Amino acid sequence: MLPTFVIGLREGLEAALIVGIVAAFLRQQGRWEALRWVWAGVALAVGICATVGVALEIVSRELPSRQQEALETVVGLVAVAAVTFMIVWMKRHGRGLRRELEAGAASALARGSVIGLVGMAFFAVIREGFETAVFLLAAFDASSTPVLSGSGALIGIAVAVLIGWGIYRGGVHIDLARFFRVTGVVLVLVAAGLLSTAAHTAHEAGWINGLQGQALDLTWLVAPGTVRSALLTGMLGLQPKPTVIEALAYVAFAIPMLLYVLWPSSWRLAFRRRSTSSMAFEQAT
Amino acid sequence: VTRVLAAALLAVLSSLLLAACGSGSSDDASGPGGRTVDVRITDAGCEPATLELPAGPTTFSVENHGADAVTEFEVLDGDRILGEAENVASGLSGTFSLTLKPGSYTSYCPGGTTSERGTVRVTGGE
Repeated sequence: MLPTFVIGLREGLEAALIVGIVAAFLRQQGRWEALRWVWAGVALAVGICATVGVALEIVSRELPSRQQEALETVVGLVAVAAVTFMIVWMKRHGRGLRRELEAGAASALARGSVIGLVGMAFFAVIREGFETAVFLLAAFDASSTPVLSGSGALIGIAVAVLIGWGIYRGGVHIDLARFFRVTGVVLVLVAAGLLSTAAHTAHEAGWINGLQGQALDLTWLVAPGTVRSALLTGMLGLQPKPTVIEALAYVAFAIPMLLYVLWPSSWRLAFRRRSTSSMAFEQAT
Repeated sequence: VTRVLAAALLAVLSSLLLAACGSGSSDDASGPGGRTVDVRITDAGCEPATLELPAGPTTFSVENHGADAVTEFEVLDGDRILGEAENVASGLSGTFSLTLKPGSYTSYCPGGTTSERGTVRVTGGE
């Protein structure tokens, strides 16, 4: 049961995390109508993936893995762009925004950006959904213990959805100013992980074939087959044995973005930010 | 900008769906003439660690025999992935198909202890 639980959790988290962040962001902006579209988009994506998964099973075809990885890469890169956009937007508007919102001038977020974020939630589910649907069916098809394997996978996905929901609720409950400050750092790590994962899937799609040597060994931290590895890989994009290109992508994104998030405002703020960040992370997860 | 992104995503998505529906004509190896090779994932890694196969369309039928830390079976040409079965947890099975040309390839089961990497030798030609 545990092996399928771990995979279900990881696959589910990769989608639930992005949806949770997007939903929390939109709700912080008071974009209720957009939020409804997010839920509708997620439901539609789940429906499409389930249909495709069952259809593939019926005609006993494999999911074309190269195209699947290509899709994951493209959506992953767009997600990096979307999360980066949120980080920059929060940084710019963080201070004045509460006043603006209270004054009813909340439409600081352009309409196009809202549509983009709603689309992002939809594609985040599509991205992981096909693979997850195929995996779920395979789990119920297991040779020895199909019920146990299948329910393990289902529970894993359910826990991932709960964590995504927790991120959404947590993001909603901390007050706006703190939300912007605290989430900046977490979002940088998430986006760096997404970029690193995109380098991983780009290799599996046949797009990147260089720099595949092992950069470092994180198996002590991301021990394969454990719940901890599912959480770290699903949320922060950490691989047990990152390749050179994966590590490069991570560092090249994380360092300048962390500097950007932490630097320009006064050091007093930076200090407070650090002391609150751990607290909010616990809330968020 | 959002429109361009949406268009790009839709293009990839539809190519995925097309590939899923139409792969029978092009590179589906499971049809007549295709061979099926049974391989296993174990705690040690890929089993058998050395495969000798004739060239041609081949379907790899991957089964996980009790390995909790290894869930993936790949066939690589150098650093390039030719085919893979992912998320094959203990007790599960998965398949992938590819057309093998003569040469030496690597099988890769990330996380395996003694045979994380194996050899796939493909001989003959059609």
